[in-house]
Amino acid sequence: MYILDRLKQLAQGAELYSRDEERGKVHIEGSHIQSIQVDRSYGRALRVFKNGKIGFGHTSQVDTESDARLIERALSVASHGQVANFELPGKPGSSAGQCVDQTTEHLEIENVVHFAKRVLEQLRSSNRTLGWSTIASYEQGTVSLVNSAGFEAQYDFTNFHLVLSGLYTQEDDIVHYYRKWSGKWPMRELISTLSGRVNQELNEISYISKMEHGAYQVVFSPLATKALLHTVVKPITGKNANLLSKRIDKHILDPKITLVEDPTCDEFCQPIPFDDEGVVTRPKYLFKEGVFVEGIHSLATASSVECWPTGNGLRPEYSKTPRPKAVNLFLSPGSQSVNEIVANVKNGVYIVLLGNTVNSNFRAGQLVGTVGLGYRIMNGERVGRIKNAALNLNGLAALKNQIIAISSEREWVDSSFLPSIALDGIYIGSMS
Amino acid sequence: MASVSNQSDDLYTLFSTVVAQVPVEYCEVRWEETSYTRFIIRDGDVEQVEENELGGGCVRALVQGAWGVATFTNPAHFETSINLAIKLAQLSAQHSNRVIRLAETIPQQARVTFPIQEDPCSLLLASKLALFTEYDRYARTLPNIEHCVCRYFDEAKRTVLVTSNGTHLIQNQTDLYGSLTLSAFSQGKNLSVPVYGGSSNDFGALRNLQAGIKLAGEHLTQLQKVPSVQTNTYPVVIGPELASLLVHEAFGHFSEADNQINNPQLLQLMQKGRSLANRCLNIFDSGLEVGTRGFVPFDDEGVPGQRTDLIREGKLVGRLHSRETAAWFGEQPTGNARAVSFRFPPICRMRTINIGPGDTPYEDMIRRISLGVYADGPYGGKVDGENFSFVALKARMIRHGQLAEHVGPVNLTGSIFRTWANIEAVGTDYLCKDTAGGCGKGGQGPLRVSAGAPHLLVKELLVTPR
Repeated sequence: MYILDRLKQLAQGAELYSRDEERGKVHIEGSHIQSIQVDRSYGRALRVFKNGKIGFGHTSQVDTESDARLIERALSVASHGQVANFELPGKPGSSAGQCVDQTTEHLEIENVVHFAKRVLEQLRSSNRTLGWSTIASYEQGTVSLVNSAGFEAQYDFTNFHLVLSGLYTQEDDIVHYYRKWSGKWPMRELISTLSGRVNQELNEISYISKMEHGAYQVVFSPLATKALLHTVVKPITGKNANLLSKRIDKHILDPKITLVEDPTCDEFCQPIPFDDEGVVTRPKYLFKEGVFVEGIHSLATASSVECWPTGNGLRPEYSKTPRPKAVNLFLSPGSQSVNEIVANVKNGVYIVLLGNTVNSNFRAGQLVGTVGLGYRIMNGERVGRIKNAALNLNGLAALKNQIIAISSEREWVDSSFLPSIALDGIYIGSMS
Repeated sequence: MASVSNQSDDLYTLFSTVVAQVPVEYCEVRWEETSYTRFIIRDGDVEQVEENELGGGCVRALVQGAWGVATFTNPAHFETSINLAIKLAQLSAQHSNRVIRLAETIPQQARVTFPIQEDPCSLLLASKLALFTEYDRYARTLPNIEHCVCRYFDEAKRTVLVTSNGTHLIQNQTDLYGSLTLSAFSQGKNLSVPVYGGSSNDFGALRNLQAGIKLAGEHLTQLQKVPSVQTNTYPVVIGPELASLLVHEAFGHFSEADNQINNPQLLQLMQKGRSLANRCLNIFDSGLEVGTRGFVPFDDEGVPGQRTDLIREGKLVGRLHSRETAAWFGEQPTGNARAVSFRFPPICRMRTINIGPGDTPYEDMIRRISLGVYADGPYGGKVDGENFSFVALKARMIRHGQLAEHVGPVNLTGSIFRTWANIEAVGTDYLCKDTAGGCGKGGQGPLRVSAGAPHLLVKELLVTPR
């Protein structure tokens, strides 16, 4: 409070965010522990509002000299800073929250080592075609936020992350397969079903199927669906939402698409009670039966597109300013099973994962990428893996006009719960 | 810009005393103090501006052939972090079946400061903002330009490295880059063209960008009118900037020795002596190019920067090493162990990777092609498995041995090893232009790097419209 008290005389408003955390990470390559690392960090970030502009500073030190320098830096930058187009939120409904998974909270690094080894042993015993590696990590800490408008709250948090990587190599034919989860200490079901799911996705990896350039029926796995959804989430995030903001309550996507974003979900993910600016989080429809309901905003971007903040102003670490970000996405399921969907595809492709989508212009709904791992489907059967293939589509258009079906089954991908989606008329270029 | 404090000088003494007494095979502490400036200007409005400082340390201990790593932000936690790193290394040793050794190096004692020309730290934030505000204003006066986003970053980083084998280094490093992205909507598509520059010692690299902005504006106007390429496989002449990205992403990462150790099949593919390409191809990585963003006089293990040949006349001849990987291969460390910040241990990374000039003039490459594509102006790209995919903003058809009509941005996709074997000619020219991007690997990014190359003629690539 010392800092905010000092600033009462020097600025019109202020916000102090602090994060105290420990992260533990275990990286195993094959049967070799590559590294075990523990990071301990504490940091505070200050935003000051002066003469209608915002100044920002941060420090990892805890002493009065550092506090004085932090205040000086933030005030100094404020004269050049971003225009303050929003007001800080006042008192929250509750002063504290619990976002702690009891198991992760008491996790020791030894537990993570044993867990990561067990996962890898399970994968190796069920699939020896790939070279496996994993990174398992946890976070435990406390976030606190106080501002000059009267907001003062803190919560303890935990998080667990698991990344699995498999490398398939036959001479110069290389496929990189991966899966990623974030949330609570992995559910038992996740581990028990892991081998079956992975094997299903890698079954025909060594059989190569030829294909020509052309438009195909394409089934996107839940993992590939995550990349596909970027094409509709990015255009409604932050200032990108400017163009679509006039189309709220309009049909933008196929009525089969109902997409919810929920930072409060505690089923698998770790919930947060308020975002990193003090806006209370809530579940929200982004699209309901194809109708655009609302976007993803921080305080600043909500103001710039003239809507309410949505509780999505998040900082990847204390030293960054809040940015609008969607977290846990839930796409409603369809009525057909994946097997039924695939069985109905006469001439198509099943994409397990999109390999390289960095060239995409997601803000405009454009997805460009290589097919990281995909299979040719002929007359309802997977007949072999496709190589050196790339696709280019506009997700906003494809998810409006080209949906064939959405699967009834859903899977956790990172911290989102997603089905498979089948689209018609997707153009794929191929060198094979 | 705030200057780097002298706290590191006091810590240097403490680290030297403690590390010398730690009873392990090897121990190192790396403490970093960084002051940086960063801003974003979007259509004339400052969207983000920062002048900040960041400090922290990374301790690495090698015990019974296994690593333990601990990072900290409070210098008072240094000694507890050493104990934690040792404990983690012991735990790792219990579970690991590979014993890590380190290649011998000559301990270095030095204080290094990058040879600065125009120092960004000597400039006020207001003058940097004024320069980019002027660029932004100029860009938006050009025909058809609807939006302009300017990004600027500079940092002064002091790194203290103390190792138990006697290295005591203090390096004062500088890095800076800036970019403008001009964009316009046309026929439902968002088209963008960037202008950028970067340096490790000269703010001058970001002055006088008006000519580049004008060219980018003309290019963007042109992109609004041109047709899309027809998806197909074509012979492609790749321009030097795109070839620089290609060699970094589609060869350099495979040369990083830690990637090879962790993948026996890749190791087999990258065997020294294997012929990967035609004799016209030479590739090397170097930390010696003063002023480039890949200038690395000492890596984060204290190994001096040097030139490392990777491909000579089409044959694989070298790898990029840390001390650990050099010992594993029985080779010499190459000065490529780099960490993006104190939050990470060093891993094998590139510095400035280069394709050496060849013997075919660019005009001759064009003359050889009856139907093909010319591509340059990289706008992102990445490798996944054996595939790479890059966007080229500057693309033209080649017809009957001549450059023909311009086409819209293209996506180039290919198989890595097949593409290197398919390089039919290497240009006599060479360009090394620092970008506003950086390299990412294992969660560590963006790391400052550079790349340089001449024109390349590739027999066949999949070309699709972006």
